[in-house]
Amino acid sequence: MAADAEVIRMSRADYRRARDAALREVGLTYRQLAEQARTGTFSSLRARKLWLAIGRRTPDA
Amino acid sequence: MPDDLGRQASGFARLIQDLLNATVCDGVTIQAQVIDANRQLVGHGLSRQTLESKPFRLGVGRGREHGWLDISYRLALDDEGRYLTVISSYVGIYLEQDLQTMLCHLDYERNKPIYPEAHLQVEGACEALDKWRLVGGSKPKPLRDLHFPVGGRRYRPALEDMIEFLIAEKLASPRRGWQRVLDESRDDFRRRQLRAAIRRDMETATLAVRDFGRAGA
Repeated sequence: MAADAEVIRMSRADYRRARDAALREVGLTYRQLAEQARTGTFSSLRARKLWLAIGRRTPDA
Repeated sequence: MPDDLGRQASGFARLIQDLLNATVCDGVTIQAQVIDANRQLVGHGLSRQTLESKPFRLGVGRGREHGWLDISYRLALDDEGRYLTVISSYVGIYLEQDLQTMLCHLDYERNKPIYPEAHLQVEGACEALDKWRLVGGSKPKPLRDLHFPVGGRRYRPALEDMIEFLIAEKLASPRRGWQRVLDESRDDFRRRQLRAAIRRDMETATLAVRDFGRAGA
């Protein structure tokens, strides 16, 4: 029988920590990444992927 | 609502996981991160510490291993707050685990400025593009920086289309029975997209049904 997919429940604090760690690893601030998204020119494929994962900030994140 | 969010995100991740393991993968696991109504992430290799999906091998049974696939989805509740909808997605195909060995990637991002919401980017050299005189004297751009449009929000390629592409082009070995699983899964995707298209444009849908009724009378 196929296994269920794992669900990872994260608090907003968990999310912010993971997001900030990912930004550090690609060497960008959120503002720099958002600017790359605005112009459609990313410094790396990893930065592109990260933007797709985090996208625009929501009021509570 | 949090429990329902978890169920929906888990169900979505399970669909992806089952599809992959019935077609071009062996035992790949897909995780769903549930943060809040505006944000759930689905992909391989996610944990409490990382939001970045990781590539996984294409290969089934004792067959030959081929390249790597990388998928990532960001989901949120729809405007009515009932169903999860895809806000962005990424499907990357690589030779090795390293992103530098990318063959192509299919991106989708709702309300994306400048470029098409759904587009394909391909790695490679292109002599024609190298010689192209770009508008405003812009410096030449590599092929991978072009965003080829692929169908828009409602008619974009599904993950199933990318899997079929891998198999048709002999980039990955399929599992026996893959076509039936893939077709059923893709039909479900298309029906969900059609329902969403109808929900967003009831007037056109009503007119079309009325026209079909007349034609059939």
